[in-house]
Order: sequence, then structure tokens, then C-alpha cells
Amino acid sequence: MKTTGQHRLLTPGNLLVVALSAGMWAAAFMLPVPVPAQPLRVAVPLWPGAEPWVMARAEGKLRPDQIKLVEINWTSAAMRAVGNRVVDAAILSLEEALLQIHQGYPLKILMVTDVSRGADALLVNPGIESLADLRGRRIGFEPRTAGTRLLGLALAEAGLSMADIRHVVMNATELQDGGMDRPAEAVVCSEPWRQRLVARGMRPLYDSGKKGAEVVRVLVAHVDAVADHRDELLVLVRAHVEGMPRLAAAGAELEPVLRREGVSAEEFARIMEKMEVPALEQNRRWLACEDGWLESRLEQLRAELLPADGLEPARRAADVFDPWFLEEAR
Amino acid sequence: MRRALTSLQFKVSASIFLMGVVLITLSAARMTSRAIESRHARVVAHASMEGGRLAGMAQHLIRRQAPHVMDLELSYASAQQDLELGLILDDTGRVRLSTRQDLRGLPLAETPMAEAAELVDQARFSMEGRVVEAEAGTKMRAVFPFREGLNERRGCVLLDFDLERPLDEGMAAALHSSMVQGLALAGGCLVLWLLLKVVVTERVSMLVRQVEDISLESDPGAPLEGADEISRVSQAASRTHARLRQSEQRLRQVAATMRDVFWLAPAEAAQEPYVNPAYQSVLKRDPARLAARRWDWLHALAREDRRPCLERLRRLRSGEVVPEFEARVVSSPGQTIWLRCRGFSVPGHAGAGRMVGGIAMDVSERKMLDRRLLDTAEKERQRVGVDLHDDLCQRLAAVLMKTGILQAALERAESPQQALAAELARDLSEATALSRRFARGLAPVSIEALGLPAALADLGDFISRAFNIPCRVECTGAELNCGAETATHIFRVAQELANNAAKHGGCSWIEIAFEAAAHEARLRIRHDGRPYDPQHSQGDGMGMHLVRQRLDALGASLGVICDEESGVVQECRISLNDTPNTPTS
Repeated sequence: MKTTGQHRLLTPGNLLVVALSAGMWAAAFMLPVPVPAQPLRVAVPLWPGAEPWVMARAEGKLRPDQIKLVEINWTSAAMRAVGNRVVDAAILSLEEALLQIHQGYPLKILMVTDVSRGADALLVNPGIESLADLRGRRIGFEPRTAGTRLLGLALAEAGLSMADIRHVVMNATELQDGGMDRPAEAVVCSEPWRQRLVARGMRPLYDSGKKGAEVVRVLVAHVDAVADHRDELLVLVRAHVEGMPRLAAAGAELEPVLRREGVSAEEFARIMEKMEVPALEQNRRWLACEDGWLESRLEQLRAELLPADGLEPARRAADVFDPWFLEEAR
Repeated sequence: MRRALTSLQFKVSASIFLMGVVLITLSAARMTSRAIESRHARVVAHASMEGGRLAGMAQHLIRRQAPHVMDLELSYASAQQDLELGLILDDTGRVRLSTRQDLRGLPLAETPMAEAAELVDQARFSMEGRVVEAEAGTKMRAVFPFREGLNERRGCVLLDFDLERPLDEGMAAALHSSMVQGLALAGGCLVLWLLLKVVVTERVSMLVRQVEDISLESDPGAPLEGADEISRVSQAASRTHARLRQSEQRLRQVAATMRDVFWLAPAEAAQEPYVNPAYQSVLKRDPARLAARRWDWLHALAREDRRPCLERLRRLRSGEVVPEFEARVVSSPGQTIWLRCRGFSVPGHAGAGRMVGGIAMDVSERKMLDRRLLDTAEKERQRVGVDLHDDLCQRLAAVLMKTGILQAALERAESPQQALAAELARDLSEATALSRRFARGLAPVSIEALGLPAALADLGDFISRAFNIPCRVECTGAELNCGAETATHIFRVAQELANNAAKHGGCSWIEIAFEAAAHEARLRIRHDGRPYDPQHSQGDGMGMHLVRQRLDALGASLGVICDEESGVVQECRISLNDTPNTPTS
């Protein structure tokens, strides 16, 4: 009689089945949890440099499921929102971006949207004739913004400092609505608030057209958003590159822009004259540090703004600039 | 392939897999439904909360103439991923504030929310906020009124929430969960399939091989180890195999030591019959020849006995109860062995044929001894009969003669004792006749001297006289060529059967016929009385017992036929060639 020998366990078939089973269980554990697709949220201020996107949205070039424009008029709110990734990207000035990066927020600079050469200004009430007259005055501004530096430069030109004035932390919209009793005698603001306040009788005393006072605005994005929304950011960059020349050229399609800005076509044209819109290649060279202007600007601002407070210093330009999108947009 | 599909391994695994698929499908449907419901409810709750919050803040801030703060609130609100558009309308229905600056100042009718005008009117009328599904499964709309300033002007917060994305998210989560469950189920079923293969299928195959290899010719192999059900079955099969083998060995030992022939014929013709070693010593034939020639044993039987033997075998195969019978084995010319055969049949399984078997005992010596006993008894009877005839009968005849003389003397003397003498003479005459009859009965006409026909004729005369029943005797055929003992036995059988017919049959005539041929003689007793079957009668007295003994000793058969035309016919067939002379060693 045949002996009943032990059955073989380690046959190729059995091993294959075990491997298949292990693979299925591993797949079950490792199956990625579906992450709902979220649109790229971009905080846009009421600023001409953001209008290409508003225009693209109106024309249907920005799909709502792809890119969502979150209109935030308070610069400080936009800074916090992008740092905490309430929004994925925002338009900030180079000063504001540097301050947020210095705070530890993981941000990347993707492009220069525009350079304000006169579109940011210090407006004063009638009766204030010179910068020296600002001593002891109530001046409204948003702290830690480009407006703060502009105010500082203006005061320095008159031999004054921030300690010589009375600080009124406010946003230009507060003055524009007129609901308050003009808490400030002067205010730092950008276009189109400048146009609106000038229309109400204030006059510009100092602006970003002064040498060294220009305000460079950039598109910043959270590092995670750069990884998650690469395609959408590229669409955004391309929309800006294509849209800004059209804004400069003006035309009937600007009606939504003008309505949003709350200015006339002529006024808008004058505003655009105060803004330098870098060409795509120039923009790329700045971000790629092939042209050191932007880099030197960043270092200058670092020296001006960042105190020696023991915090880890902001990284070098090469660490925060990301020229990939401009390179892809070529 | 078909075997794999019908195996327990496949059936159990497939059943569990299918059951799991059904359950997962039902669970997925339920989870999807619940996910959609919960996310729908969540959006409604969020819309309601946000709408109420913004309406309250709008009322507060606008009253404090700080609408720019409300603008910031709207900005934060617009950062929510599900909020598509938010409007704050004034009392005239114009957009006061919006998540989109380009809609400011526009009437509601010129905004993407133009169709909400009726809802806004209702809300402003009732001053109750509402959340409605503006587009089924796509958009949720919150309408919350507030009071502008301290007068009766009524503004309204209008918010549109995306419903599609949360519902898709819920469905995706449910689908993900189902896929995880499905993959886990598939993996588990594969493991189960493998486990069943290792634990059940392969071990059952080994068990089947073990059972198929069970043979009474071989020792049981090692059973499966373990304490589970399959191992226990294997161990039980092994123990049963061991017991069967032991039983078989005991049976073979018993069969090997038997002097009688023991045989077993399986139902299938292809299987070799079993015979014990006595087969060769008794039948003088090689058992190995049975493997190739199943009927080789027939050649050992006397030719006349082959057909009856086969007939009995056929009856056994059909399940009949066959009584014992005798057959002759001719081992060599002149050497005949008598076998008393007994057979049995065992029904097969599930309609299979019957197995038959039997024992053949060598009764040659017993037959010889029985015959010698009968011969001795017959000789003693004859001696008594002769003595009776020669002594008592002669004395009685002498006394009768003297009584006759005395009677004559008393008659001459006219003695009153002459009647007594006459009566005495009559009694003596009867006694003499009776004595002679007894003597003749014990010692009939010498068969050796006058032959069996003469003895039968004398028997017929006796029957006729003694019972007053006509008895005709007819003897035909060749000269009887057998010993005196055989003829005597034939005569005694005829005597007993005729006497029984006369005494118990109630017949009116009897016929005795004897026919002898070269190898066989026939004795026939015919009468018109009641049938009498000595083969099936038990306890009928010593006469019939002796008849059976004599028939057995002769190797004769007795048959009884009853019909209206012939009457009752009892026929004995006696073979005149074979006598149980040679005992087996």
C-alpha cells in the first residue's frame, strides 16, 4: 500500500496564490484614499495686476472646478490665508512674501506680476502740504505690508520715522466707504483706491514712482499647492502672461474689469501707465536668477525688513524662486 | 477542469466569494446612500450656519456703518471650497457686497443668481432664512434676510454652495471602502482556497488513495496524522483495514487447515475464485488453473453430475436456497470420491451480482461405513430370518403335525376335547404361517441365488396376499450387474415403499417396476393412493429412515411424481458404476 506522505506546501502554484493574496491585501491597505479634487484657490486683491485672471474667468478660460479666485481686499488677510493654505496662492508684494517666508510659511515665488512705479501712494487730506507735515499726524496703513515700507521711505525722506506719527491700522476700504469719521489724516493705499480717494479730495504726497520705492508684486504659492496644482498654476501663469498686454491695450472687453475696479477706462489707462509689466522672458530671467535684479531686490528688502530676532533667516533667492512655470509658459 | 469546478475547495471558496461580493455590493449601496445623505445634510447644515452667521454679521456691521468689514467676512467665506458665490443684497435688491467685486452694484437680475429673486422676496417677507436645493444634486442655496440699519429696510444674504462635489466625494469614499473590502475579500478567498487545497483537497486525495489501496493481500499503510475529521477517517480506515486483514488471515488459516473444500466465486467473472488447499487434494486439480479457466473444476466431476451441479450454482446465483446435494469426483478411473456440497450466496452491493460460495465435504468414507452398516444389519436380519425359518418354523410345523394326529385321534374317540384340539390346530397353523412370513420378511428369497426380479416377484405376491391389494411386478432390461448387497438394498427399498403404499397410501393397486441398464437401474413404485414424499417427511419411523440410508449408500435419487393419469409414482435411479469405496486421505 502506498504510504500517505506529507503534502508539499511550497509548490510554485501555492506560492503564486500566497503572493497574489498578499498583493491583494497590500493593495487593500495601500489603496489611496480618494482625495476630492479641489480647485486651485487664488487670493486676488482689488489690484490691476490681478485683473488678467478676472478677465480670464469672465471669458470662461478659468474653469471653476480648476481655479477659484478668492477676492480678498485686505492684504494682511491674504498673507495669512496663503501662509496657512486657506488659499493656495496669492498676489503679494515682495516685502510681504519675504516677511511670510521669514515667519516660516512654506511659500514659493512663481512670477513677478507687475512692478508698481507710482500705483502705490501715500495720500493726505487737504492741509498737509509736505512730508514734514506728517509729524504727529494719524496715518492709516496695514502693518507688515508694502504700504508700511512706502510710508517708511516717505517719512525718511522728511527726516521722520514711524515713531513720529500716530499709527492707524486700517485698510483703504475703510476710508473709501466713508462710514467712519475719517480716522486717519493720511493713508497708504494702492490703485484703484488711490483713484477713488483722490476723487474724494485726498491728494498723493509720495508714491512708488520714487526711485527705490517701487513695489514689486509677485505670485506666491504654498509649497504643497505647487506640488498638488502644478497644471492649474501653469494655466494661471499663462493667463496672466496673455492677459496683461490686453489690459494695457484696453478695449470694450475690459468692462467687467472696469466695473470691478470701479474706475473709468481713462482712469484705468492711467493706472496701467504706472505699472511695469515684465515680459515673459525677463520675468523668467529674474526668477531664474539669470538677471540678478530681482535677487538683489530681495536681498535689499531682507536687509531692510528682517530684524535680527533670532528667527531662522529667510532662505536665499534660489530657494524661494521657482522659474519652472515661466519656463513652461514660454 | 470539471473535477476542479465540482470540488469542495472550489465550491466553498466560490460560495464565500460570491456571498462576500453580494454583501459588499449591498454594503456599498448602503454606504453610498448614507454618504450622500450625510454629506447632503452636512452641506445643508453648513449653508444654514454660514447664511445665518453672515446675515447676523451683515446686520451688525452695516448698522455700525462698517460694510468694509463685511467685505472681509465675505472674502473669508469665499475661501470655503464649496461656496461658489455669495451676495449681500440691499433693500432694493442690488448687490451691496459680493464675493465677486465685478457684481457690486448690479441688480440681482443681472447676476448669476437671478432666479433666486422669488426666494429673496419670500425670505424678506417672512424674515426667515431658508436653505433650498436650487438644482437637484448640484447646488444648495441659502437665503437669509437681515435688517439694514434701525429701520425696516431688509437686506438679504444669498449664498450658493456646490453640492455636486461633496456628493461625489461621499460616493468616492464609499467606492474606495468597497474596493478595499473587495480586495480584502479576494485576497481572503484566495487564502481560503489555498487552505482548503492544503487541508482538505490534498488530504482527501490521499485518503481516497488509501481507501482504494485497501486490499486483503496487503498490510495497511500509515494513516494521515492529526486529530481533524479527515485524519480520523483515515485512521479509522486503517484500523478497519487491519481488522479486515486479520479476519481474512484467520479465515485463510481456517480454510487452509480444513480437510473439506471451501470455495468462493465472486460475482464478476473477471475476478478469480478462491479455493482452499483442500481443493487440490480432493479434486486433484491445480487451483492456479482457475485464474485462467474459471470452470476448470467441472472437469473433476463425474459427467452425469456436471449439469445438476451447474443448475444448483445457477440457483444459488439467483438467490435461491439450495439444499445439500452430493456429487462425485472422478479422480482416476475406478476412483470416485463422493462430495456432499453445501452452498450459500451473498448479495452484492447496489445491484451487483451475488457472490456464491460453499463447502464440499468428502463423504466417501462415511458412505462406505453406512453401507457396511447396512450390509451388516441386512446379514444379521437374514441370519435371524434363516434361523427363524429353519428352527422355529420347522418346530411349529412338527407341532402342527402332531396336533393334527391328536385331533384325528380325539375325533375317532369322540372325545369332548376334539373341538379344543381343532382350535389348537388352527392356531398353530396361523402361528406357523406367521412365522414363515416373518422369516421370509427377514430373509426373503435369496437374491444372490435367484436374482432381484424373483425377489421382487415374491414381494408382489406377499403384498397381494397380506394386504389384499393387487400388486403387479414388472422387471425389464439387461441382466443386473451389481453385487448382492446392492440388489438387496434395492429390494429393501422396494419392500419399504410398497409396504408404505399398502399400509398408508389407501390405494387400490400397486405396481412395482424394475428396469436395469448397463450403468443405471430404475425402480418405480406406482399406486393410486395418496402421495408420499419420503424426502420431505421427518420423523416417519425407522422404515423411511432406513430407506434414506439405503438410497444414500447406493448414491441413488428418489423422485415423486403425482398426476391423475399416472397416480403416485416413486422412482429411484441407482447408478450401478460408482460405489463409495475409496475414502479421502
